[in-house]
Amino acid sequence: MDAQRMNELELLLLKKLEGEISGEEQQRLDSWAAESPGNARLLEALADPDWMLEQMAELESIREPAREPLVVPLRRAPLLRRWGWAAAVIGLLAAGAAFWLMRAPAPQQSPAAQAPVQADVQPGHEGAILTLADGTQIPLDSAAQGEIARQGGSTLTLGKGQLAYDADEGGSEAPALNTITIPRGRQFRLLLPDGSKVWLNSASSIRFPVAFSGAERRVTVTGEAYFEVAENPAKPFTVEVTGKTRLRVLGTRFNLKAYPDEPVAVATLMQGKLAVEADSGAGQTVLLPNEQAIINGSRLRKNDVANAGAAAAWKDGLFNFDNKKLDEVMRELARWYDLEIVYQKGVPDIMFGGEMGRNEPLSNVLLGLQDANVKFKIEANRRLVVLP
Amino acid sequence: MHGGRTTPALQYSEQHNDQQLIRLFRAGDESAAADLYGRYYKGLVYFARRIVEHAGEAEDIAQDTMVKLFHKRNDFEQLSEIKSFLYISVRNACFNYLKARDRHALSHRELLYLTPEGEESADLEMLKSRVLAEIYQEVSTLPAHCGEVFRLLFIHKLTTAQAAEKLGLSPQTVLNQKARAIKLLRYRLSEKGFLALLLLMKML
Repeated sequence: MDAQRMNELELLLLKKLEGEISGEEQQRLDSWAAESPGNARLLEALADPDWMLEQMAELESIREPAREPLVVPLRRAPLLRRWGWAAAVIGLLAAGAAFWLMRAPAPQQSPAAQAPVQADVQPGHEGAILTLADGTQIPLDSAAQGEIARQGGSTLTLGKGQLAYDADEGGSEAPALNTITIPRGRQFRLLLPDGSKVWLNSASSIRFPVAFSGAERRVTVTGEAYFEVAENPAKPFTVEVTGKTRLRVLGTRFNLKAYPDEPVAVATLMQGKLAVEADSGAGQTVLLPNEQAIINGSRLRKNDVANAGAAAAWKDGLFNFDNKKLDEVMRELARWYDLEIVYQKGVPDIMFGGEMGRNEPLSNVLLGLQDANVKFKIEANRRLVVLP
Repeated sequence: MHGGRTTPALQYSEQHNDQQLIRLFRAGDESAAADLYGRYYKGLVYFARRIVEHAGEAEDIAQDTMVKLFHKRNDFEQLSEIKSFLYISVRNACFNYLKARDRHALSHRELLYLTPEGEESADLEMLKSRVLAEIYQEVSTLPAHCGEVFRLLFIHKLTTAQAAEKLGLSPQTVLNQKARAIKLLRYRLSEKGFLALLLLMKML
C-alpha cells in the first residue's frame, strides 16, 4: 500500500470513529472493507469498545525510553510534557498533585518565603569526572564532545551526558580500570564496552575495566545506578557494592541504591533475574521482576514492589517520593541540589508521596516542602535547616 | 501557510504548530525532538509488537527508528511524511529481524510475515496501529489530573478508594475528578462522536 493510500484510509477510519464521515466517504470505506476479510475485521474491531479500551491500555503501558540512545540529543524531560496518559502519572500531577499543585495559598509567610534564596539554586545536570588508570582526571562537564581518549584498544567517546566505551576485542594485556565519579548535583550515563548501559545518579561512582576481556564482567559501584545489562550468558556480569553486597546479574534491568549515608542498600529488579549476595553472612537471595532486596547491615530481606520502575524514576528526570520519610526525601534533594541538611531538633515524622520533576529550581521544591508542612529556614552555603 | 480559502482559526493554529514543530525539529531543537518522540513512539512500539513477538526487540526497533529519523531530519517537510517514514521503517526493520532469525525460533504468526501475504498483513497492522495511536493521543489530551483519575478508574480498573490511595487524594476528590472527566467527555461527545461515546459507555 502506498503512503498516500495509507494516509487516506487512516483519515477515513478516524472520521468514522469520530462520527464525522460523509456518505461518500462511508462508501469508500465500505468498498475497502469488502476487499478482504482482514479489512472488514479491522473495521469491526474499531467499533468494539472493549477491544478499544484494551488497545488503549496497551498503548498506555508502553513507556518511553529514559533517554534516546547515543548520539541523539539528550532530552531534558520538561515538567509538564505530554506523555500521553502517562503525563499525568509521570509528571508532577500524580500523587504529587496534592503536594504540589493543589496547594492552598500559605496563610502566612514562612521564614523561607521572607528570606528568599538569593539567586535560585538550579537543579543538577549531566556531568561527571573520569579517572583513568594512570590517575589522570578528565572533567566530563566541560570536555568537548567526541573521542576524548584511547586506552589500550578502547576508544572513549563523549556524547551529551554520556560516555561510551568501544573496546577492541583483540587487546591482550589486562584492561585498565577506569572510574567515573558523579559529584553531587550531577548525573551521567555510561555505555560499557559490552553494550551494557549504566545510568549514574548524583554522588555515585563506578569502577570498570575499559574492556571485558576476562571470563566475567565485573564492576564496582557506590551510590545509585540503574543498569541495563547486555545479555551474554558466557560472561556473567557482577556488580560489587563496596563493602556491602554483590549482585550477580542473571538478567537485565535493575536499580541499585547503596549510598553510604542511607541506612539500607536496595536492589530493585525490573526485568530478568538478579542474585543478590550480602556480605557479612546475611546470605543471598534471587530476585524476580518487581522484587526488591533490602540489605540492612547484616540482614537481607526481600519485598514485592508494585511498580519497580519507580525505583529508577530518577533516570527519567523524576524524583519518586512515594512512601518516603522526610529524611530520605531530604537526602535525595541534598544530593541533587547540593544542599547541606541540618535538623534543628530531630527529624519530623512526615511521609511523602508522588513524583516531581528533577529539573525544577530549588525555589519550587521549597514551595512544595512548605505545602507539605515542613518548617525550615535557608542559611548561607546551601544549608537547609529543618525546624521542629 | 495555506492561502486561498478561509480556514477556521483553531485548525489554522494547529497547522501553524505543526509547521513550527517541523522547523524546530530541523533546526535540531531538543524539545521538538521530544515532542515527536511523544507523538509517535508508543504507536511504533505497538505496531512492531504486532509483527515481532519480542517486546524488548519491538522497543529497540522503535527506538532505532526514532534515531534514524533524527539523522534524516532535514528530509521532511510535513508531519505526515515523518509518520509514513517512521511506520515504514519500523515495518522494514521488523521484517529484517524476522529474516535474520532462525525460522525454528519464530512463531506461527511471525512466519506468516515471511510469506508473500506478509506485506499485506503488515499493511493492515500498520493502519490499525496508526489509527489507534491517533485515538490514544486524543484521549490523552484530557486535562492531566482528571485524565489520571479516569485512567486509574477505567483503564486500570481500580476502585475509588484504591485510586484515592494511589494518588494521595481523598476519595471525595477522586469522585469529583471522575465527575469532571465524565462531563468533559460528554462535552467531547458532541464534538467527537464515537470516540467519546465508547469511553462514556465504559464509565457509566
